[in-house]
Amino acid sequence: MSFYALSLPAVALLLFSSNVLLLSRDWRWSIAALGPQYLGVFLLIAASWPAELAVIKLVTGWMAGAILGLTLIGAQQGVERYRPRLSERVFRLLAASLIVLVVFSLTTEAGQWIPGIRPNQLWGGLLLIGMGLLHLGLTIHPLRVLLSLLTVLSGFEIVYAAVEASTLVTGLLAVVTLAIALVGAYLLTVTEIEVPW
Amino acid sequence: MSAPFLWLVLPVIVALTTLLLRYQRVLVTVIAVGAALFLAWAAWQLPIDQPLELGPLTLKLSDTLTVLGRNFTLADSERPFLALMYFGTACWLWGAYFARPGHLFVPISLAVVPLLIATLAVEPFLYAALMIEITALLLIPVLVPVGGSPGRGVFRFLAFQTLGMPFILFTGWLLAGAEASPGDLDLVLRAGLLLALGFAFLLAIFPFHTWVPMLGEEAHPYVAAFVFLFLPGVISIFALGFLDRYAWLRESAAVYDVLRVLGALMIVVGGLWAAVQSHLGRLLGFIALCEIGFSLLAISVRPPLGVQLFFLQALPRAVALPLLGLALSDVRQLFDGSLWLETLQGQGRRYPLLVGALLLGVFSLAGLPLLAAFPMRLALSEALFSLQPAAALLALLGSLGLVVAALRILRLAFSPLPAEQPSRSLSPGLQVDPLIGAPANASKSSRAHPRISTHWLVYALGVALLFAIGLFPAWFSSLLADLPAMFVQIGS
Repeated sequence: MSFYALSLPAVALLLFSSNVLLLSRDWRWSIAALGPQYLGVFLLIAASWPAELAVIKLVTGWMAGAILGLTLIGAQQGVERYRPRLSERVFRLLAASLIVLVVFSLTTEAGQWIPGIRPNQLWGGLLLIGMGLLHLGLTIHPLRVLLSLLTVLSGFEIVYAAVEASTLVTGLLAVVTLAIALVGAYLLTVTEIEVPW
Repeated sequence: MSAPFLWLVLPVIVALTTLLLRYQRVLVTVIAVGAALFLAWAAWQLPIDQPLELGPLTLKLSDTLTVLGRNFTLADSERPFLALMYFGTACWLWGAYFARPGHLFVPISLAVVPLLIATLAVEPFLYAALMIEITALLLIPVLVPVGGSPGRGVFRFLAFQTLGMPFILFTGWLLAGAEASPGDLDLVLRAGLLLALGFAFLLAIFPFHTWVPMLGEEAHPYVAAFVFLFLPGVISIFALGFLDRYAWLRESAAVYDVLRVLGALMIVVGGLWAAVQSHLGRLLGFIALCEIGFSLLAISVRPPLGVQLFFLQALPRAVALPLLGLALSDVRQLFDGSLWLETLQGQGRRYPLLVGALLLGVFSLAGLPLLAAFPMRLALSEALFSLQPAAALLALLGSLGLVVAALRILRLAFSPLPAEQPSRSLSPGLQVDPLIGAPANASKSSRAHPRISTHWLVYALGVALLFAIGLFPAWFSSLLADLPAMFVQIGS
């Protein structure tokens, strides 16, 4: 089965999940959005790699989401205490639209830089990188910084998968993704950890 | 046994052991310092890839360790670097006993150092970017210890290190193409651009420098100083590896011009901000930015002189930054966690050695005569004046900023105590030791700050080293003479 046939739905999935991450103020929705995001990442990477290798990205991403989700259950820091105004949501949506436009206009040019990559993979990868950077630029909230870093990293992984299929790189990138989630879990709860004697 | 196992895997095993014992401070310090000293001695004495006879036994350290099909290689030419890294680590770990940066500092720093060395040993070299990222992630628990509150600086540090990694990884792939067809200017330009962006993120080069002063303000000063010394130091050596490897890169005049402009900019930005700082932690951060700038300026002098100057700049930094870190740790502990400049008002007479160490550390890195950095800065300035006088003048301007910062500390520390704070909260009847600031007539158990009194030896040693390097630079620089040999093309 060629996974590239599923690449357009995968890009749509990434567009949806990255917008949920950007617009949602409830950490539950944000963590839940990581699920479809990493599914989309898996589908796009599977177009370049064997599915059994690409599935590492899916498992790692979901594990990262699970780590952050389990940490936030009962933690106080992850809970944002304000409800965003409509104007803020509209601003974010417009900024996201701008990113989508920039990504789609850049795809042809960027495709010449990376000869082996297919258009849908490039759209998905650049979309996640752009949305992640936008999210990173709009927030100082610890959870949101971590989610945006995971988003940027997963976008890069899609693009990088087209040029490099090394097992060690895959393993180390998985370690980095999990480590970001673990460090995030630590940072979100560090003030509440009791110091043992 | 292989050299990478000895210098990369063994310290991690020791680090894990110290992690289990982390609440036993003395034991952990003894084990960690002992291990680091052993590794430094081994790097000094044991040749790599040559038979060594130990009585009836013949030992040979092979230079390569293979993990999942990838090689970690430590060549014999890298032994001086290994010896200095582990000797420096031993000194840091010893200092940590006094600075008390948290229970996790010793295990994590002992794991971070081999990881940083691994960035230089791994083949293909592009894997180094991933190791730098893992190092940054590993440092987070010491930057924000248990019970602490993470600030914006830590998240920015994490974000910038994470954003730098993809650029380096991608550049590795592009450079393979550029190496095959150096005539393809577009490819070379793309690779150069991505490489520059990657190192700008990793090395905190302007305008991606903001996390450095923020981290200096938020983190324990000793940990911050450790990060400011080791991380940019090893990343700079990693960057030199690119120059060594790619002829089109090291033969491009534009590369050196850009490095010179960025270096001068970093020194000016760091120096001018340092001159107006009111927070000593942020001051440490701006000093670190100046040091990154000096490293870039040194590299911008064409090899092999530039490489020699680069290693020479590292020597005073390796003494002054831990001294500053320890002094600021003591200031933090003495003044209830505050590192604001005004807390030092009038404290020069009360804690002369502490304030003296702080001042000499800053003055030294500003390049004042007789102190450690002066001969190295002089050599760099001479080389720069012949290349681009404006860069040398800008570096001088930045150094003047550091001098102003030190003079502000001096003026405040020796001004009268503020009226509302006539004395520190020492117990009635205790007198302050005029040399070290500890209560002189107190019993050991009743001293207000008994720990500080034991630091005079560390301060005295640090200050003596700053003067010794300044007065006998030729002898100390001969210790670093073999380091450029790490680089085949640009080292000699």
